[in-house]
Amino acid sequence: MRFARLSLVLLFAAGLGLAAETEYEQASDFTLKDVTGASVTLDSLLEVGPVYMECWDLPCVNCIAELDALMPVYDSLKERGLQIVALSVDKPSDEARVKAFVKSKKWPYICLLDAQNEVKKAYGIIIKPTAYLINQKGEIVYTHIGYKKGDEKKIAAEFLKWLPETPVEEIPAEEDK
Amino acid sequence: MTGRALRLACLLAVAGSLAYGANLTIQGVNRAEFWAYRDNWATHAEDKMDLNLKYGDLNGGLGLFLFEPSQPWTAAKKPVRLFDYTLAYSPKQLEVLYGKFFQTFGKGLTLRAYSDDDFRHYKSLHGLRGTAHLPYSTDVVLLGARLRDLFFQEGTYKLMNATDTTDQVLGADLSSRPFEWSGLGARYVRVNRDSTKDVTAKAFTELYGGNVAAAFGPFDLYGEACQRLGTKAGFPGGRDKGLGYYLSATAAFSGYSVVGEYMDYDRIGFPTGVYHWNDPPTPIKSGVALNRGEDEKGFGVIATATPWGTLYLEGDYGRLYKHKDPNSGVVEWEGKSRYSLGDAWTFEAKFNHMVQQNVELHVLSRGTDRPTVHVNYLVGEHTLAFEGEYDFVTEKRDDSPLDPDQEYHESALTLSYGYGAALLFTVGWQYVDKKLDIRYAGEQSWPMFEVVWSITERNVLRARVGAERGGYTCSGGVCRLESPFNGAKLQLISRF
Repeated sequence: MRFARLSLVLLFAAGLGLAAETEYEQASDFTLKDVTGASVTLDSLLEVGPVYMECWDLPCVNCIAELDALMPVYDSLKERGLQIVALSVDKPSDEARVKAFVKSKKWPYICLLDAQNEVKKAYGIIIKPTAYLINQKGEIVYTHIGYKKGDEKKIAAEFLKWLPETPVEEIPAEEDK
Repeated sequence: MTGRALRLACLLAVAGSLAYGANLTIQGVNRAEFWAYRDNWATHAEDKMDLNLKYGDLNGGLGLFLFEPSQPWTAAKKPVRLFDYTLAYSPKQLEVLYGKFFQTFGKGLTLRAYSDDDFRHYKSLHGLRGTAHLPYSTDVVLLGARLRDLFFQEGTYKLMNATDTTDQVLGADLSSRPFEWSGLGARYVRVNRDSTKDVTAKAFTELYGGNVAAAFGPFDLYGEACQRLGTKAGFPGGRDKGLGYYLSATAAFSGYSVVGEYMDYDRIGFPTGVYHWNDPPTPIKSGVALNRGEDEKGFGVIATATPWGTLYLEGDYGRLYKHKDPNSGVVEWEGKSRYSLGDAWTFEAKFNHMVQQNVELHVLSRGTDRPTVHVNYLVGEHTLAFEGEYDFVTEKRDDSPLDPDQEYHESALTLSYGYGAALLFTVGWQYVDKKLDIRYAGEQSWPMFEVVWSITERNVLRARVGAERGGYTCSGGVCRLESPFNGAKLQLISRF
């Protein structure tokens, strides 16, 4: 029994030790459908590069303004592996409206549907817009809450900290393999 | 377990932990609230905590929900104390989960269990679920679970299915995208026993459903159907059939979009009674529904345009009515425009027209015309916002024989000042120009003051003092009569 207790203490310490080594909060993996119906996982996105994930919904004017404002930033940095995820937390009954809205906006992002709010809850998102920059180790290295005009410059500066200097080759999507 | 086996298990666990190198991560959200009512100094404390634990491919969840109203308690108003857990093993492309979860099949015609924090409505499933993520974006879900419907109404939480006599829900769902332009789905849900009083030998409800989707360039089409096979209540029992359809078509071009929806639901609600576990969409933008899944037919159209970057236009029209009762129905249309002037100003003007017939209890008809304006001014870290609405209301009631026809005006004004994302002060005032004893207990004015302070990125404190008008509110087709409130509310949301 003594050995068992010691083992348990070691297990706990190992867990804490490993957790303590991490400077940043670890992002939870998820599997969601995008607006085209394709399954997307966070892990598969991180294979390509860092991910900036913004939580938005149709009534959130500031969320939409931020996603609009990030389009030129994305265009200039996508070659270096940046991926932007627009995470819609609208209700399932609004799915048709979300799809039409996203298409009319011509957002070049990965537009995911989190109708059950699973990701919203797992990430503890309280305010919209809330966005997380997740590095390729799966760590949340930057959080941006709210949006006002000009914030995109601050966000772009954060992107540059976590992007490689040279462009990365895009990893083919699972369905193309 | 013998000591030897325990030792071995511990060794394996330690070795596994070190070799795997997985981190234990714990994340969670806590919402704590305290309400004090001015009239009788009654209080209400509420806490909802959700913890997520992740260790490699193992995921765990703990949920705590406490609702503590001050005494005297009644049959309707009493404490609610719930503890939930979830344990899931989810290696790549697979998940096996035991405990509490939420699940929607398709658009919700066959099954929709969800949580709506804003509306304080939690429809959860408790049991076992297996999910497989296969190639071609194919997902297979199998579940067997019991249901729980927790709903905030008339100032208290109610377990809507407290007297539920049904068995566990069994469900299966398959959804796939064999080609990039297509989507397919099939699903089955079964609940044994509609009611203990049902005399049918095989008393159960079954729902079969399927959907197809297609996308061609700017066009998207979606269709879903559901058939319900239930049992008729009472003698001599027998089988009862229901059918439901949902269709949507969208067209989207650069800056422009149109969405059309059509729905026809006839006796697909399950189980029967005040709560349903399927939850089909409503075309009414403000979320009003008539008779969820039992007897509804309607359509909705929404068009949006952004002719240039600074201007946004939206028009909506929705209509919903019952097959069997032509005197029940809802018609709503809305026009909205938003214009940004430079970096500092945003103007929004909206006009909403709605007629509801036999939707709200004792209200034969209620018509509202609601113009709204919203102005936002931003300079540096400072934001000023003003919102005002003025409703023209005509109402006909059957419980006010002396004055069944009523015409009055409701207005609401809010003025907010925000400093960055950290502080937001709001002063609000709601007013009605006629004394309405039934609807608002004779009250006419409801002033309030609110502060929202984002203490840190992870902690938001909201304090509100004053009065709220209450009234009939809806979200996603679920409606309730919100009780008026006068007093103080304190809310702390923490993420960790």
